Amino acid sequence: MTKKSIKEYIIFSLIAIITAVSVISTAQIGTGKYYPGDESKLQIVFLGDSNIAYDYEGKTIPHRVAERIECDVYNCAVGGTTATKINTSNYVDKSFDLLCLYNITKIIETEDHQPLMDYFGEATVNEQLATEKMQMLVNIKYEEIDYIVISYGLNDYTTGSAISNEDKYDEMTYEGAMRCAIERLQRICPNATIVVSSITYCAFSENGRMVEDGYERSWGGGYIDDYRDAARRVASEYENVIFMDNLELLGIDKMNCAEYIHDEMHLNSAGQEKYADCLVEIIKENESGKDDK
Amino acid sequence: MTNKVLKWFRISGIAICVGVALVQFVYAVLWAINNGNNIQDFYDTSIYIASAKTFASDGWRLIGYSIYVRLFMILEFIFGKNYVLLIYISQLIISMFSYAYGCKTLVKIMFEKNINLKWMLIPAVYILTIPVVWQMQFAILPDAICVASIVWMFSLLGECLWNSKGFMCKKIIVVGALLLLTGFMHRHYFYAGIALVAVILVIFILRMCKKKNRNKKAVRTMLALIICILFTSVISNVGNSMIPKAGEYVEYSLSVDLWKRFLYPNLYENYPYYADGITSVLPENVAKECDEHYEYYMNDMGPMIADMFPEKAESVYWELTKSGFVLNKGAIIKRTVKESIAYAFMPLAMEKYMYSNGISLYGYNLTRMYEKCPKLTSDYMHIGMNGFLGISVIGVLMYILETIVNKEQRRKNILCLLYCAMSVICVTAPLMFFSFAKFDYRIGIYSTVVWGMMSAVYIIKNVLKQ
Repeated sequence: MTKKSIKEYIIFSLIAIITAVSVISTAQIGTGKYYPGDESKLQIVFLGDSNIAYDYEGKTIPHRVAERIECDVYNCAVGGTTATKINTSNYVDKSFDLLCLYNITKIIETEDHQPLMDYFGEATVNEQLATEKMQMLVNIKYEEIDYIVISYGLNDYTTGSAISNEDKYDEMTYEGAMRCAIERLQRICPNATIVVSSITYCAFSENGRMVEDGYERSWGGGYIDDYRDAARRVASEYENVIFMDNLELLGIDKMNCAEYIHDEMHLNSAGQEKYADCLVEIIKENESGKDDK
Repeated sequence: MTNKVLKWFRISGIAICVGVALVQFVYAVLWAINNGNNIQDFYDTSIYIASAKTFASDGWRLIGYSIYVRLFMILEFIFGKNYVLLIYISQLIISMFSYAYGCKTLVKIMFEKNINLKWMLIPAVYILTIPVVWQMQFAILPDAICVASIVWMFSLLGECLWNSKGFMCKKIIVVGALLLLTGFMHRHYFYAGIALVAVILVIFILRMCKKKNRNKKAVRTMLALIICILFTSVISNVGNSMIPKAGEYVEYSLSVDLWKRFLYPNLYENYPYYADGITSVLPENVAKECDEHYEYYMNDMGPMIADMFPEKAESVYWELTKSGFVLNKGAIIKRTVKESIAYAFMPLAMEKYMYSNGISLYGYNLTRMYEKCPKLTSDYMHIGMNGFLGISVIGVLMYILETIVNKEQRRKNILCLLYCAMSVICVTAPLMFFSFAKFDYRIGIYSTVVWGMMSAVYIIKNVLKQ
């Protein structure tokens, strides 16, 4: 081998290696992280449905939590969403299936919200809000997150989603979708504590009179306590996952539901205050448990 | 001095190509391992799988691919769900050899070198592992096989066109067979194949008009191509019509196939402006639902019109299609031109739709791909398509440089470029016209392959040996 050809091979190899490194680094284009905020505060991400997403008297549940403890909250909940994957969306239908818990944990992992932008394109106000929340979701530095609150169940219940089947990871079931999501989240942020927040109480009325509550009416998948039990089962299978039993802790029933529920299903301001109290108790207890260790 | 600059430019080009291809290959293999026998959740996939079990067709997704899937389904009792892997591997092998043959043909056309096919497997593997191409190999969709068929046809027809020796009977028979295959697999790819053969036929006719002496072999080639087009059209039409129908879709017709482009999603918006003949047939609420869920066009609106007018449903469909076009002419033409440019320049188009808030089906296709490994898939897509852009740019620069510097090569370069551009137009246009007015990289797979072949062949040409 001549000197000239050795020189050519060396330069060739150097260019190839530099190219390889450069092209790998292009995967980071567009993935700039700019969250979270103050490192001395707890960092809490909320994933859920309308109970977390909607505000009453100008405040959401995350707002109310932030009033009680030193924390930064990231409200990435979207109204109308489920934990369960509902259907195979036709690619031209604007469907909230993409925003179910099963799918958004995958979006988090890609660190790329482009699929959402393509789905919603010329979006309605609600869809625009959803994409803004997802944009926030993919930009969070998950290694610095302390708590992830997962609050799904109402829409799974009212759409009659199957609770489980023989495939424990079937994303078309409530339990399967929750398992897939928890495992994915634990891979993305192994240090975070996950709080699985169960379905909340709901009551149905006709002509202004309450006729049945969620313990008595099923929409095809089960009753509200079935969904609560399913969430508890899934939460118990994992370490560093806490279960929040809203049917028990919030103490809402047929006698007092008018005080805490806005419209058969959604917690009103008083209901949200109760929820925030219970969640903060859980977090404080967990934090003091960590301190003791 | 110029030679030295050219030499180092070529070495750098090859080095960059090697760097990109190696990284891409590694990511492709990792993705394939993670994907395993997962079936990507495309809308059409479940329909092809169901057809494979029932041997019935809805008239829109043809039976050929379902039969192909069925051949592997039979092995389920041995392999279990892993029979899906066998489908993927078969698609990979077919595509790889097809792209290798395409590269070999380009080398022959451009540089008049007969290269052993095995050396062309190297650029073929690079093209195959481009993320958008690789994804289709691991999907239960006819796209992989149809694109491979079209690339093969492109190669064979190119050899016929450039051949000065005589009538290439065997090659035209193979073209006919491939056309027939696509005729039973996917209507739009069949139209694309017909368009390609028709354009070659026109070129032969124009050549004949110029020559004073009629060349018998050219006449035979022309006749063979005409027979090819007619024979395959008749056989595929007759064959497809004999397949038992299933499903609720309206019966296939060209007018209904154009609804995606001409009617959706403006049917409800334009409702007040439709002729009375249409509004008397079509309730307003149906028009609204159709625009919210495209399937309503096919499941509800089409069959409803067919039930109301069993004799003249087709003319009502055409009336709707024409009205849709007339009422949105400007927007339709603008969107179509924009998409045509995007598909013609796939390396740039992918950059735009990956990084900007472009409204396209990139997101839909990506979410099918990242089911098992979202982060890896996202990285692979960005790395692969950025690398593809880089290699295409180098290929273009080398092409321009050679065209300027090498006078003998100039004519061949230009003719080859025209042939490739013409084939991309022929193949992409039918796919695009019968699609939604949104950029869908699945439609641009053939364009991606041609860009990949041209760039790879041009970059590595100086290391090609006899």
